[in-house]
Amino acid sequence: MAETGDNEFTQWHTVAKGETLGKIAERYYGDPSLYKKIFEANRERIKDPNLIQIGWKLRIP
Amino acid sequence: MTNTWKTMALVIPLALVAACTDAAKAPAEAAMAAAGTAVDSLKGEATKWAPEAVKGVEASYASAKDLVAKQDYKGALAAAGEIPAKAKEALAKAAANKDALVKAWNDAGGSITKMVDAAKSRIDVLMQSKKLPAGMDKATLAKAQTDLSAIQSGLAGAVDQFKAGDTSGAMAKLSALKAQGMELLKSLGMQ
Repeated sequence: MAETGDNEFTQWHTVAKGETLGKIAERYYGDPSLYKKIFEANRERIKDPNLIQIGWKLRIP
Repeated sequence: MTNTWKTMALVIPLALVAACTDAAKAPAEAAMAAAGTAVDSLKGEATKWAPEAVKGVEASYASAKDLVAKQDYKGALAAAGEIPAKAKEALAKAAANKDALVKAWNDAGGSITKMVDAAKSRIDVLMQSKKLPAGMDKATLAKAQTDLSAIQSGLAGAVDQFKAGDTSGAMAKLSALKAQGMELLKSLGMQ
């Protein structure tokens, strides 16, 4: 699962029911518009930023 | 007993002792020379990385020298004969200690570098945020930036210190930097 660059200080978020990238960005950055940062950091998993699945473990840059 | 026999009774044992002593002298001197070379090989790196082991070898060499001074060549031969092997052990210990410390240094330094990268990445994103997340304000973010800079310059200083040979001081600095880094990550909500 981990790719190059991930380490013990990488922060992860497991997607819960009802969450969007915007909501996750708001939680960690305070600003939903920064969802692209999470999208870009998880491109190997997220193909469409509007489609994320419950249980996915996303890295939060 | 005639005087001649009396004299012989005294002289012969002394002559035998002297003969035995002289027989051990040359080998003892050769062993001392080899021991001296072995002790010399410990100067520098070995003294730095395994000081206690080197002290032990030097003490053995000093004891062997004392025996030579007392003309106990047999004893000196035995004592000096063990020194090259002890010196070899000290060299091996020094190499092992050095390897262990370099590994510990690389592990700790690598860990702090990763920590710094993670914190920097988060600070960069937060700097672009129109509104900071719950539990964080501008002052917290500004302090995080300052702390990050301090850790980065502290890390550079520790590297210089290590290169200059102050390995224990550099390691102590890394430990302190790691603690600061953990606090920084905590302040950013990453721990």
